[in-house]
Amino acid sequence: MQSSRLLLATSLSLCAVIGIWGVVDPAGLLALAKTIVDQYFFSRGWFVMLSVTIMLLFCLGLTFTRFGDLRLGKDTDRPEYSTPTWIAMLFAAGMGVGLLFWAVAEPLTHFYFAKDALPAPLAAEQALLAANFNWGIHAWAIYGTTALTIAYFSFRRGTPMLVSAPVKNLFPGETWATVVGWMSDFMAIAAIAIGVGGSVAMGVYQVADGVSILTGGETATPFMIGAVFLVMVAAYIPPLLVDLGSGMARLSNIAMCLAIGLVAYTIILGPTEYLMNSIISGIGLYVAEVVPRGLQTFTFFGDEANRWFQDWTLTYMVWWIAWGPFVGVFVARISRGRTIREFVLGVLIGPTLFSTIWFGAFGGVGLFEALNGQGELLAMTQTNVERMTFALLDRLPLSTITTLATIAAAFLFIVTSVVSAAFVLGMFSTGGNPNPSSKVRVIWGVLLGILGAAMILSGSAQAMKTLIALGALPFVLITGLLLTCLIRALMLDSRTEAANADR
Amino acid sequence: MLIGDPIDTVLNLGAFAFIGAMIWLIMRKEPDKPE
Repeated sequence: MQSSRLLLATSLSLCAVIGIWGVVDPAGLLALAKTIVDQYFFSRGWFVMLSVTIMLLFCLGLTFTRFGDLRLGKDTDRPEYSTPTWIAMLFAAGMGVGLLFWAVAEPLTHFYFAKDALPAPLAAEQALLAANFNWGIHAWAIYGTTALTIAYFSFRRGTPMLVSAPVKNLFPGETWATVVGWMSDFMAIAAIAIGVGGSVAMGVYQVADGVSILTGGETATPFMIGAVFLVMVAAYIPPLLVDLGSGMARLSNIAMCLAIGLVAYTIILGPTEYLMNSIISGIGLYVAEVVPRGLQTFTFFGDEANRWFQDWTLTYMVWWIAWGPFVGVFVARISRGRTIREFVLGVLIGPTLFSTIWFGAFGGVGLFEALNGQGELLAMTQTNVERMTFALLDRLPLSTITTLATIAAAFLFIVTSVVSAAFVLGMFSTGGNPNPSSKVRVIWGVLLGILGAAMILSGSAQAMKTLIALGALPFVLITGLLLTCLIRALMLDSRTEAANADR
Repeated sequence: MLIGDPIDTVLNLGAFAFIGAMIWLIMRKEPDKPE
C-alpha cells in the first residue's frame, strides 16, 4: 500500500507541475517539449516504426497459430458485449474526437504539402494514404498489443490490471522488475494524463468553433473557448461520482451512431459516386502499401519531407502509444471471454475499416473541392484548420443539424474519454484496485481539466501534438517490454500445457 | 565529415541495448520459484 501511495503522490505531483507550468509559461513548456521530442524523433524514428510494425506482424501472426484459440478468461467465459457494441466502445475510447477534428483537415493538409512535389492526382492519392495510415491498423496494433498483454495476464494469470503486472508476474521478487514495474505505472499515468489532457483541449476547440458558427461568430473567442471548457468540466465531474456501469457503453454507442450518421450523410448528399470511388481506391492503396509504409522513414527525401514525417506519422505513432495504456486497459476490460483470434481481428480490422471509410468520404469530398472546386477548403489548411469539418458541413444541406450532431458527438467522445481515463488512472494509482474511490476519480478528473487548460493555453493543434508526444516517449519502451512479456508468457504457458498433457 | 552527432549515437546505442535486453528476457531460463 505504501508503494501505491508513493506512486499516487508522485504522479499527481508531476501532472500538477506540468499543468501549472503550462498555464503560467506555455511557451517555455512547449519549447522544452519540442527540444526533447525533436531530439528523440531525429534519433529514433526507425525504432518507433520498427516497433509498431513488429507489433502489427505479431498480432496478425498470432491469429494463424494455435494461440489464436486461447480465450481471454476461463475457457467457459463468453463475451460480455455484442461484437458491434464492443467495436463501438473500443473505437470511441481509442480515437473518437480526433477523427471528427481531422476528418477533412488531415487529408487536405497532406495534399497541400504534396501538391508542389507531385502531380495533383498522385498527391491526392498519397494524401489519402497518409491519413489512412496515420489512423489505421498500426494504431490498433499498438492498442491491441497493450490490451492483449494486460488482458492475458489479468484473465489467465490473475494479476491486477496494471501496466507493471506482467513484468512483476513473470519475474517475481527481482529488483529490476520491481523498479521497472513501478516506473512503468508511473509513466503510464503521466502518458495517459497528458494524452487525455490534449484530447480535452482539441475537443474544446472543436466544440467552441461549432458553437460560434451556430451563433454567427467568425472564430471562437477566448471567452467561448473558456465557456465550453467549463461546461465540459461540469459535464464530466458528475459521472465520476457514480459507477461507470453500462452508461459508458451507451454514451459510446450514441457517439458512434452520430459519427456513422455523419459519414453516411456526407456520402449520400455529397458527390456519391466520387466518394465511393475515393473510399474503394483508398482501401486498395492502403492494403497494398500497409507494410512497406510502416517501415518508411523518408530518409532520402530531404529535410522538408523528414520534418513532415516527424510532425505527422511519427507523432501519430507516438500518440497512439501514449494512449496505449489507457485504451489497453479499457479494451482489456471489455474483451473478457473473447478468443485471441477474435480479439485481434476485431480490434485491428473493424476500426481500421471504419477509419478508411471515414477518410475516404471526408477526405474524398475535401479533395473533390480542391481538385474540381474553388479550393477554399484547401486554403483553410493554412489558416483555420480547427474549423474545416464545420466548413465542409456548411457546404452541404441542413448544416445546422449536422453541425449540432458534430458538436454533440465531439462532446460525448470527450466526456466518455475523460470519465474512463479518470477511472483507469484511479485504478493505476491505487495499486490496481478495480474500483477506485470517487475521491481519487474526481482528483484525476480535475487534474485532466487543468492539463487540458494548459494545452489550450499553449496554442495550436501542433503544439498539443508535441506535448502529447512528450508524455508518450517513455512508453515506446514500456510497450516493447509488454510485448516481450506476452511472448515469454505464451511460450512458458504452452510449455507447461505440453508438460501437463504428457503426464 | 561523416561523423555523426554524439547524442544521436548514444540514443541509438540505447535502442540497441533495449532490443538486446528484450531478446534476453524472452530467451532466459525461468528463474527458480521462491518456494
